Amino acid sequence: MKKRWYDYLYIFSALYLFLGLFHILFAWLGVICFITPLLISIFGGGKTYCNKYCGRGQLFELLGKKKKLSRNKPMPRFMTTKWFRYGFLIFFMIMFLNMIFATYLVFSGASSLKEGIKLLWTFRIPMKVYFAKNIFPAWVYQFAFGFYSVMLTSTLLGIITMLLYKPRSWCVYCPMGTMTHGISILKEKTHKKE
Amino acid sequence: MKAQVDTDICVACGCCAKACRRNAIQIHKGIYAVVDVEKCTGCGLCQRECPASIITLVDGRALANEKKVV
Ligand code: SF4
Ligand code: SF4
Ligand code: SF4
Repeated sequence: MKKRWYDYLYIFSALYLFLGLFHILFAWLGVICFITPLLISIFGGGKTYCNKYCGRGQLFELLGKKKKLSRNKPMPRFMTTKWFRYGFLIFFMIMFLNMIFATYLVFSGASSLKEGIKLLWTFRIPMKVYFAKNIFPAWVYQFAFGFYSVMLTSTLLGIITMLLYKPRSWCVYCPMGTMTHGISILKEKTHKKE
Repeated sequence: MKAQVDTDICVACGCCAKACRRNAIQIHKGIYAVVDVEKCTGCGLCQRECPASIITLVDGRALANEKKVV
């Protein structure tokens, strides 16, 4: 099959993780991967983002299928249920709001910048801002650390399920995917009522 | 043999559509995958790819009848 430009977006996803290690401010770029899929589905594009443009999905496919790292086994049934998918989305959103709150505390001056990332919402990994530390207010850096933690954590979970189950198992319970799926279903329902 | 999708669990990720060499699968409005029974040869590539493992290969005639009902 002919490769299109968007079939190479996995490079962007991989590069993103490295750039973040290089300088935490690059973490802000990840906001694109949060807003674009939502906008697409809100404007009626369904899951076009997942189906075509998501570099992360492509990365898992590349590692699992092309590089044959995946066991290629079906994932446990419960992980494909709505309970699990929406439950994970809620958990993810709570942790996300938690991160926003931490950013707000720094913004309001109630707490000072905490450098470092948190993996799997638990393990603190120290990380420093080595240069360009004072161009932006502290909260900008706090958000970057928090956002990078979210991206790294979800990549890690995705890699684990990529290894254990099918390459793109993450796409079954990916919070972004669940949200765009939910939006598409809601749109269809409200559309029918009209 | 034709591919059939369990639309209740399908997350519309599009892995199946991407895998199909005959372009027989479309993602319906970002909600679920639909197999075009005319195009499907039952090769099973999509089944292998689906992360939720919800694609089953069923008898072609049964699916065609179902299509008529719809
Ligand atoms: S489900 Fe998530 S990781 Fe998978 S393609 Fe969609 S946004 Fe990307
Ligand atoms: S069984 Fe083969 S031809 Fe049929 S939809 Fe799946 S990939 Fe396409
Ligand atoms: S790969 Fe499976 S879950 Fe994804 S769209 Fe196809 S049938 Fe649905």
